Amino acid sequence: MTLAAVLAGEVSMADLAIRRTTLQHQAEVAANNGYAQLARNFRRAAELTSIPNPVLLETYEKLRPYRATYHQLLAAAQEIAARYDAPETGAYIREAAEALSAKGLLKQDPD
Amino acid sequence: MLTQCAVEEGLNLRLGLKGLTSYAETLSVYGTDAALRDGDDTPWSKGFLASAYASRGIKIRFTSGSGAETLMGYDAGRSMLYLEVRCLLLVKAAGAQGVQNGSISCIALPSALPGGVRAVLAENLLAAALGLEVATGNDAMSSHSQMRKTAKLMLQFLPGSDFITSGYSSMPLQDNMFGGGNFDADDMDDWLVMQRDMRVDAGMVPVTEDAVLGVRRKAAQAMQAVFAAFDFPAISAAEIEAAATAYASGDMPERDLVADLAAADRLLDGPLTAVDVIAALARAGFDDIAGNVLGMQKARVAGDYLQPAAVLDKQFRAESAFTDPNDYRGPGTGFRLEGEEWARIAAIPQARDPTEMAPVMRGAAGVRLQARGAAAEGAAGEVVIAVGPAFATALDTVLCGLTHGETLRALIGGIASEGLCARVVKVHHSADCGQIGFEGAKLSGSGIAIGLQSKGTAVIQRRGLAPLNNLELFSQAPLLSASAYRQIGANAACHAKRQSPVPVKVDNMARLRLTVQAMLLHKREIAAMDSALPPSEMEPQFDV
Repeated sequence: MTLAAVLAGEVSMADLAIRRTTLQHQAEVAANNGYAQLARNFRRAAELTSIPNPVLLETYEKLRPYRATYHQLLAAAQEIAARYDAPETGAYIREAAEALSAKGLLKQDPD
Repeated sequence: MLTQCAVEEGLNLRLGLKGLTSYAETLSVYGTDAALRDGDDTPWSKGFLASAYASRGIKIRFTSGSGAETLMGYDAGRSMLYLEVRCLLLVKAAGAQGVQNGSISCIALPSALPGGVRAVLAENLLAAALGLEVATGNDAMSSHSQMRKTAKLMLQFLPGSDFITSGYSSMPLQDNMFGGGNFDADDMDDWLVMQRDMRVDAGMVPVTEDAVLGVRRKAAQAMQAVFAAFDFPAISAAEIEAAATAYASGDMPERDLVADLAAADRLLDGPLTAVDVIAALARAGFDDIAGNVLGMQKARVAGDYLQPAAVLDKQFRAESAFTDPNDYRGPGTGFRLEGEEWARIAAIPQARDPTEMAPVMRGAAGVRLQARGAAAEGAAGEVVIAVGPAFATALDTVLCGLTHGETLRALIGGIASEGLCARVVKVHHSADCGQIGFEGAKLSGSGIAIGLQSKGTAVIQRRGLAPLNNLELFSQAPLLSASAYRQIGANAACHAKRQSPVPVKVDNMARLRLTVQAMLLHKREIAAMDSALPPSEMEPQFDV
C-alpha cells in the first residue's frame, strides 16, 4: 500500500478496512495481557466487520432507550448471529434485551 | 496525529467510515440509568458503539466525570465520586481501552465543595487503577483564579498520567467553542517552562516562530490543493497568508459559509474518502502529508493502536500499555524523562546564555585605586568604605549598571553630605559582604564602615558586631542606584554621629532577574581573593 498505488487508482477504502482476523488477533493480545473485557469487545468488533454500515447504525439505534421491543431485540440478536456469523454479538444483544426489560427501557409491545 | 472530531455519534461514525477520523472520544457515560437515558443511550448502546468503532479500526475513548449526573438532576442521592466509580466500571465492562475523566466540563461543581478537587484527583487515580488509558481532564476551565487553575493542574502534571490534558486548545479563549479551556494558546509559553521546571513531558515541544509559520502556511496550502481537487469553494492566497499568522478566527477573511456547508454535505453524502484526499495531496506535491494520511489508514488496518494507552511514533508504530507497560514501583522507577526527549523539552527558545543577559564588565571602572600599604586604624570623624578583592580590577561594574567609580563617588558624596570624610580600604582575604564590612569597621575611627562587594551588595557595619550581624544590609544590589548609594553613605555617616538614618528604599523583584549575573560576578570576586594579604589603604583616582 504505497502512494504510487493510491495515485494509480489501485487502492480503495475496502483495502483500508481492518480485517476480522486482525481484530481476533488484537483480542488475543488483550486477553493475554489480562484485559478480558477489552478482548470481548474486540471479538464482537471482529464479528461486526462482516456487518454493513447501515445495519451497524440500525443495531446501535435499537439498543438506545425505548427504541425496540423485547421481541425485536431477540429477533435482531438471532438474525445478526446467524447471518453474519456473530455469536458473541448475538449473545450481547440478548443480554441487553433482558437488562433493558428489567430496567423498563424497552418499547412496549403493541398487544 | 490521530484526527478526532467531536460531533454527534452517527456523524462521527460516518466520518470514520470515510477514513477521515481515526479516533472518537465523545462516548459519554453516566453513573445512573436516568442520566444515561437523558443522554439518549443505555449501557448496551454505548458498549455496542465501542465494538462498532473498533470494527472499523477506529480508536475510542469513553468520557465521564464527577458532577455530570448531579448537574443533569439524576444523582439518585449519591456522591459524585461514587457515581464516577460506577461510570468507570461501565467503561471497563464495555471493553473500552480508556477514558477521559477528571470532571471535565462539570469541574466547577466539585471544585465548589470542600475536598472537591481532591475527589477529582481520586477519580483519575481510580481509572488508572482499573488499567484504563486516562486522559486526566484539565481541558475545561476550572477557575477564574490563575493560582487555583495551576494548582489543580499540578495534581496530574507532577505524578504524570497518559494524557495530562484530554485536549489543549491551540486557539485563544474567545475561539474555543467548548466553553473555554483551562489553558489555551496564550498559556503555551508558561506550559513549556513548567515542563522544563518540573522535568515533565506534558505533551508539548518548544518550537520556533519560523517553524510554526512554516507549518501553518503549508497546512493552508495543502487544504487549498485538496479543495481545488474536489472542486470545493476556492481558498485564496490571502486566506493562506492570514491562516499562517492569524491569532484568532477574527483575523481570517470572510468566506461564503453557505457554499462551504454545501461542499461539506457533498463530501459526506458523496463517494469521496481518505483515498481521494491522499491522491489530491500527492498530485499537488504534498507527498509527506499524503504519506502521513496514508500512514493513518495503515494504522487502522493494523489495529495495534486500539490497545490501551496507545500512541503512534514517527514511523506510525504503536506503543501501548502492552508494549511499554507502566512499571512504576516507587521512587526511581517508572517513566523517566531522559535523553533526547528531555533535551527537546529543556530547549525552550527563550533560554539564554547568562553572559548575554547583561554585561558583566564594561571595560572601564571609572576609578583607579592606588595601594598605599597596609591599612591602619583611623581617627574619629571618618567612615571606612571597605571594598571587595576584585573592586576596580577584575570587575568594574555593579549589578545595577553603575561603574565602580560612580558607585564609590556616590558613597563618598553621601558620607560628605553629613560632614564626615570617607576612607577607602580594600579587603583581599574575603569576598563575603559581612566579612568585608567587619574588617572595615575594625579599621574605622568612628567604628562605622560600609562593606561593598564588587557586584554592588552593601552593608553598614559597626565595630563590635559579629560579621553577619550589622546595622543595615542592602542585599538587593541590582535595585540600587546612584541616589541609593548616596543615601547609604549618608546613613553610615548618621550612624557614626549616633543620629537616626533615613530608610533606603529597594525593590524586591530584582533578585530573580539578575541572580545568574550576581553568581557570575561573585565567582570573579572569589577568584581575586588573596587570603594572605591584609586589608590595603586605597587612594581612589576617579576618571574625569
